Amino acid sequence: MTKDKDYISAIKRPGLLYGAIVRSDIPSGTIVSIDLPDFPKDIHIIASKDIPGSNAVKVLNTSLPLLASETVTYKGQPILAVFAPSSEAAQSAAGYIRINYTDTDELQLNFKHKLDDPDQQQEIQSIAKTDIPHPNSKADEISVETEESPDTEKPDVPPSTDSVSKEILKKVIKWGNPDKLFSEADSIIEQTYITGPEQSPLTAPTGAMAEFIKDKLIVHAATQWPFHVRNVVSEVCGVTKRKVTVYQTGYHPTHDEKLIYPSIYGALCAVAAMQTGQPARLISTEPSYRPESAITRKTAFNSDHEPLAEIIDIQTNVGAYAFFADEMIQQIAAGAAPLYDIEGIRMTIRLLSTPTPPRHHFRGLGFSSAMYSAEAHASHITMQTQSNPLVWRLKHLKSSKSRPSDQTKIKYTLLKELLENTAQRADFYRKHAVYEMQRQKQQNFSPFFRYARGIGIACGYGINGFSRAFSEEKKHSITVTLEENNAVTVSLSIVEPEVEKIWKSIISEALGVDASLITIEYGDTAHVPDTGPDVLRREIHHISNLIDRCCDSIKSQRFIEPLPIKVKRGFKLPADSDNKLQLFSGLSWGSVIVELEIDTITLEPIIKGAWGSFECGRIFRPEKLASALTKSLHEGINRCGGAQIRYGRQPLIDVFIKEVDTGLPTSATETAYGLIAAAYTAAVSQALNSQAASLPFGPGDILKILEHGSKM
Amino acid sequence: MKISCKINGKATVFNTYADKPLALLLVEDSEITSLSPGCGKGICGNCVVLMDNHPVLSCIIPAFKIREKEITTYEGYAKTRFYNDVVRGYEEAGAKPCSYCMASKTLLIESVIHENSAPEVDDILDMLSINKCSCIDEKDLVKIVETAVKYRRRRRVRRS
Repeated sequence: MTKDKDYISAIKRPGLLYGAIVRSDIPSGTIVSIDLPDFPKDIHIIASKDIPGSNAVKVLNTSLPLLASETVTYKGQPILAVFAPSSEAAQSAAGYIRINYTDTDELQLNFKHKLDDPDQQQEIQSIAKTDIPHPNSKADEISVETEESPDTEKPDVPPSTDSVSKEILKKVIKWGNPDKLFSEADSIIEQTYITGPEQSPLTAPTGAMAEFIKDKLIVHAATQWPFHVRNVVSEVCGVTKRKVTVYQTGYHPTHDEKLIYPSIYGALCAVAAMQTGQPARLISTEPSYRPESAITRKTAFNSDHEPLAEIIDIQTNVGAYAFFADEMIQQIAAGAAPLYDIEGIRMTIRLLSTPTPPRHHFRGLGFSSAMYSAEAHASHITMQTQSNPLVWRLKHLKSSKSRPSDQTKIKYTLLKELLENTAQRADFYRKHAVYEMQRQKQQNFSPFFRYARGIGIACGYGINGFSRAFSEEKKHSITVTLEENNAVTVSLSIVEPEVEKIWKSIISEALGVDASLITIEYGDTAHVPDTGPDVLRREIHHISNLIDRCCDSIKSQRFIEPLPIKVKRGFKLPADSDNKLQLFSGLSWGSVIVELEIDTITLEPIIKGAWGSFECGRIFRPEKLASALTKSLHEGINRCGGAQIRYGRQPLIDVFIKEVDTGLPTSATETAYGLIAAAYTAAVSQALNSQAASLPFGPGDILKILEHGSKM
Repeated sequence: MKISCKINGKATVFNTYADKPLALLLVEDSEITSLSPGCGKGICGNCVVLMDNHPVLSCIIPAFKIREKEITTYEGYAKTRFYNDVVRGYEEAGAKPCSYCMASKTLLIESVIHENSAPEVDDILDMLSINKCSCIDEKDLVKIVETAVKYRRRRRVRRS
C-alpha cells in the first residue's frame, strides 16, 4: 500500500483522453477482419500496426504481444485500444467494434489432432534438455532435468483450447531411489490435491496515465514495478529509456495483480499520447488469476507404516504465457518437498500453457499451494493410518540422510516447538481425540447423524522474495546516504510505509542516528535506483538485508571518508557458509491449527477457532506483526472456503510469535497461507469423514461429498 | 440527460448518460478524490457513499437513481461533528484502515452507529464485510465501532 499518493483514478488533466480496451471474446483463433464504424474525429483507435516500436511486453525471458495482431491466444486478450474524451464515449465506441475470427472449432480440431499424433506431439513438445546440477551437489544425490519448449520466448504461441494444454517447462527432481523403495513397499497411499482457479478480489483499480511534458514521456501508473513500466513504454514507443519517467500512483496490490498489467496500460496510454499529443488514461478492472495446480502425491510405506519414498507429480496451469516460469518451478519444488523423513523422492513439475489469461504472481509463485499439498498429504496419511497427526509429525519431522544439501535447511526442533505450543493453546490432543471418535462412529451413518466437527494441524516454513537462482535480482539495488548533518536518506523504488518503520529502526540502530533524521526517498524512475518488483514480500527480508549491508559499509567508512557517504548495494549470494547452499534466504516458520464445525443445514464450515505459532526473525513491531498474521490467517480461511466461510459468534484467531532478538525480520504471510489451507482441509476431512483435497472447499463441495457418499 | 442531486449538501446538476455509475460521476465529473473504485462490479466495497444516509456501492448505482437524492462522500462526512466519534474510535483502538479503504470503512462504521445505538458483533461484522479490504483485523474493527458507539451515545445524551 502506498502512502498519501493520488490514485490513478484521481489524476486528471485538461484534454485527458479516457481509454477502453477491446478484448478477444474467443480463446483462440485468427483475426480475419475488424469492423470499425465511422467514429467522430475525437475517437482514437490504436491497433498493433499503430505501435511505433515493438509490439511486445517483455517479462524476463517471456514476451507477450501488447495488442494481438493476427492470432488470438486467450480469451480476453487485448486487440484494440480506444481513446475518447470521456470514459462513456470510449466504452461506447469499444462496444461498436466487431472483430471477425476464423472458425475456431477447426483450429481446435487441428491442434487436438496435433496432440493426438505422436510425431506432431514430439514436435510440439520438442525439448531442449538442460541439466542444472548444483555446484555443490553430488551426482548421485540429486538429479535435476529441466525441459523447455522452444516456444516460450515467442510472442505468439500456437492456438490451443480449454481441453488442450501444452507443456512449456518441465523439471524432474530426484533423490534416493524411489522406484526401488516403491517396489519394496508394503502399502501405498495416493491422493491428488487441487488448488482451483482463484480470481483476485479486484480491490483497487489498475491503470496508467501518460502525457508529454517538454519532449519527455511522463507515465503515472498504479504499479508494483515502475522500472518495468519504463522499459516496456520505452520499447513499445521506440524511445530511449531516459525519455521516459514513471511515477507510482497509489496502489493496493492485494494479490500482486499490479505487476504486469500497469506496464501494458502504460504503454497503450503512451502510444495514444504520442499519436494525439493529448494526455491519455486507461483504467481497467480486468482481474488477475492464480495459477491452478493439480498435485498428485503417492507415498510408499514399509510394514511398520513408516514412509519410505514419495512420487509427486505437479501440473500447473500458467495460462497463455508463463511469466517467471523458472522461478515458479523453484518455488513449487521447495514447497512440495515433504518435511517428514523419507529415503527417496521423485518430483515432476510441469508448467502447462492453456488458452486462458496469463497467470500472475498470486500471493507468491506457487510455494504456498505446493506446501499445502505436502501438509494436507501428511494429515491424510495420519488419517489413513489412524495416527494422531501431531504425534506422527513429532515423530517423523527429521532430516533424511538422502535429502540433498542444497535443499532448504529445515529447523526441525523449532518446528516441533511451534507445533507443541500451538497444540497446547488449542487443546489439540483432547479435541482431536473426541472428533476422531465421532468420525469413526459416523462411518455407518450419515456424517450429520450427530454433529460434524474437525480439527486440523499443519506446520512448515515460508519463503521471502526470489530464490538465489533468480539471476535478474542482481540488477536491483538501493542507495543509502549519510548526509553531513547526520541525516540518512534511503533511495529505492519499492514503496512500503509499514515496512518503512522497520527499515528506520535498522538504520537507527546500526548508525546510531535518530529515526526522525532518516528519510526514505521513493521518487520517480529518474531519481531512484531500480529496486525490482514489490512482490513476494521482498521488502521485509531482502530489502532490510540490503539496508543492513549499506549501513555496515557506511560504518566502516565513517570518520575516515568525508561526509556525505553514499553507498549502493545490490543483491548477491551471501558468502556465509551457513546459507551458502540454500536456495532461499529469509525463512519464516509456523504451525497452525483450525477447528471447525459443518453447519448441518447450510453445509457452511463454521470456524470455531484458529491458532498459529510463528517465528519470523527479528521482531521490530510485535503488535503490527500479530495483527498482520491474524489478518493473513483470517484471509487464508476465507480463501479456503471460497468466501462461504462463517465464523462462530466470537471467532478466535490466536497468534503467538516466538521472539528473536538478532538478525533480520522475515515475512510469514506465505507460511500462514499454505498452513491454514492444509489445516483447514484436514479439519474438514475429519468432520466429513471424507478427504477434502481441493481448494477452495465450500458448501457446494461438501454437498457433493454427501451426495456421492465417499469415505476415507 | 440532466440529473440534479445534492453532493455533500451542495446542489449539483450532472449532464450525463442515464446509466453512468455514480462512482464515475463523482470521480470524473465532480471534485471527489476519496473514492477509489476498484472492481466496478460491487464486489470490492471501496466505493461506499451515503445516499440519503444509507450506505450504497456507488459503482453499481446508475446516474438516474440519484435524482433528487442527497449523496454524502467521505469529504462531506469528514466535515461533520459525527466524524470525530469514528476518529476517536480509531485512536482508542490504535488501529486505522489503510488510506485505500479509509473512506469506505469510515462511512460503513458511521452507518452502523447511526442506525443502531447498541450494535451486536454480528451487526458490525455484517456491515463492515461490505468492504473487502483486509488491512485491519476484525477484533480491531469491533473495538473501533464499540468506541465510536460509546462517544455517539454520549453525544446523544448531551443533546437530549
